[in-house]
Amino acid sequence: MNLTQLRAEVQAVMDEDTGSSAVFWQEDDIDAAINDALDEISDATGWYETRVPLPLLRGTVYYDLFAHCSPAFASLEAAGAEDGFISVAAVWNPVTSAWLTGSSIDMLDACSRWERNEGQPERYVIRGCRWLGLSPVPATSGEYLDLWLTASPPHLLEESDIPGFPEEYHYGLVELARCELFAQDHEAAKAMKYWERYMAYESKLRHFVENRLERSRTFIAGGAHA
Amino acid sequence: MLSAARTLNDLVEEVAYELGDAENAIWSRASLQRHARRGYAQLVTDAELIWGVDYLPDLPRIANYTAAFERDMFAPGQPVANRFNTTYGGEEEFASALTAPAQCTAFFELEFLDMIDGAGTPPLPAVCELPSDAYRVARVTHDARRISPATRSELQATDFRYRTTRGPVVAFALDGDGISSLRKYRTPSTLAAYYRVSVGSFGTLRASGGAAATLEIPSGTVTGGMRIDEFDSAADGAITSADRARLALFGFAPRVTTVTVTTVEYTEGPAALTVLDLFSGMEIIGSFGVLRRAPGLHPIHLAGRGGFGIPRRIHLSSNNTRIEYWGRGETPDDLDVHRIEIPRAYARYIKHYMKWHAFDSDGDGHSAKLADLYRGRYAAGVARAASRRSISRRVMIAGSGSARGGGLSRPRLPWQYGQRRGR
Repeated sequence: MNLTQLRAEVQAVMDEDTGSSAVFWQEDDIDAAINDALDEISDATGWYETRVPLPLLRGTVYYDLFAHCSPAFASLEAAGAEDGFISVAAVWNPVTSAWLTGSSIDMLDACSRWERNEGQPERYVIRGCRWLGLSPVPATSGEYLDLWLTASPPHLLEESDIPGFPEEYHYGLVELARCELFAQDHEAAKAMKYWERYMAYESKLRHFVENRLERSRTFIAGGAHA
Repeated sequence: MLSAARTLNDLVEEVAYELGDAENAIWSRASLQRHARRGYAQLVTDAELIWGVDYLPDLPRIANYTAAFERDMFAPGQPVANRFNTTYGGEEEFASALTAPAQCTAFFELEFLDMIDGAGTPPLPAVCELPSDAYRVARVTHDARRISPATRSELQATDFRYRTTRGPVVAFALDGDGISSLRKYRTPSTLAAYYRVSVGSFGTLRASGGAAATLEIPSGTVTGGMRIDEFDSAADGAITSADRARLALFGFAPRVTTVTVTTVEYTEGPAALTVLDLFSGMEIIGSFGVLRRAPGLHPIHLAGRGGFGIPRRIHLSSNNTRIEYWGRGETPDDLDVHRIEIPRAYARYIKHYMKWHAFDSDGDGHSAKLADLYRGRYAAGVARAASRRSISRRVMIAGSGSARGGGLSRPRLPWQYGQRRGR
């Protein structure tokens, strides 16, 4: 469903006229509600992933994801996604051709003075909402890591813009937009009704995102248990 | 729509519009601002979003006033250090309401402190104040090794004289010395490594050295260092009046040079010396602009907590105590100026908080159901933010063959050896 179709679905329930005949809910209000819903479902499910290069500096353990991700999102600035990064999904080291292992600070502290071990990064740790730590610490400057991030997608601005996740979940945006608009109108019962309907779409999309890979079971003769 | 909101007042205006009260007829602007401040503070503490780093340096404490009222009497431009009324950690046994001890009033004096007790190091403070924005300590390290927390009872059981025993720092305590204090056990006996700065105690780093500089050195002392307000723009060994004039007017080092110094010659009185470059042997990236990063500098110490600004004070981790904590974030005195320090996706939770409390407040806009709705959305957002701090999802790599991952099969006896029939 493109933006025009999404808007039309919302307007149908809101019992609002379209175009310049709109009395209460203008098209801008409905578009804003749809894009808010897009932000919400993206935040909850993490479906939108993007890749950002992280330049390494010798001896630097912690990197500010704000500072490094903002330029990558600059192209999306017009869509209001300039600070759109949400979380780190995975980190790839092109030098070792290996994924870095996500760790906790307690796991890293099992090795005394890990912040002074230099080498190719093998593990990463997230501190707060914007700091990425690496172990071992990069020994040379000029190399890069590939960060895979979940982020807020570009907003729907053109009439033909389509949300990037599968179409069977697009109606969730309509339900949440209705919820927000009824809440603005202080119609609590209707807002709750559409909120519950939206939650069903959100959980389905989250399940889809987290279970994208299915492996078929293969019978193994002899070995009964792994 | 949270498009370009970067200040709390941007959120206030968006929420007012989304509540259908752009004219603030039902919810006053002041009440929404109050909810915004509170929501921001609540969110960063509930979800532990602001991670801070600071040093509790194992260096003699520098202080230059003794009474609280003196703080306001410093003239503009005068450096203000800490307050002190003791010079030795053991004095607290003899009086009350004492501050942490200090042994010097200016940074450059560190080089001239005599050995007081023959241990080779001036007395170093064991009790330090926590950073003002810290609400929970996350991790403390000494010389890059994590040290353990302990209660004062545990310390006393381990070492009856724990308050005065000197040695390597192996633990820390948060009780027994005030709510915003941290005590190191043991009292540090070794000075932390520090960059030596000859002149100045505040302001921006203005030169990293040149081919030569002029130092004023007390008679009989040979030292290496850097004088901030000397800059050799032509790298020809001559400090010209133009160089000095340039530095007097502008605070930036427009060129960084690599200098390696092996010898220092000293004669009586000021003399031209080959100066030890602050970053001698260090890799220098770029050749113009301002100093943005230095070896040993934690990036969180750049002004504004990340990404911009000029390093002001560089601590090194060697023999030094570092604290990592969960912070409250910057206090938004001016809601039009204060930049939200968290990503845009997280800032949306503040709007949920504001709407929750707006609908929950008494008056024409009260709605218990909508308040519940937004309270639930705020709680879900906090839970989401907290879960992201844990180990991230592993990348799933397709495999073939085995249905389940795992280790080796359990060992099995070749027949029912020793087992009863029927089992």
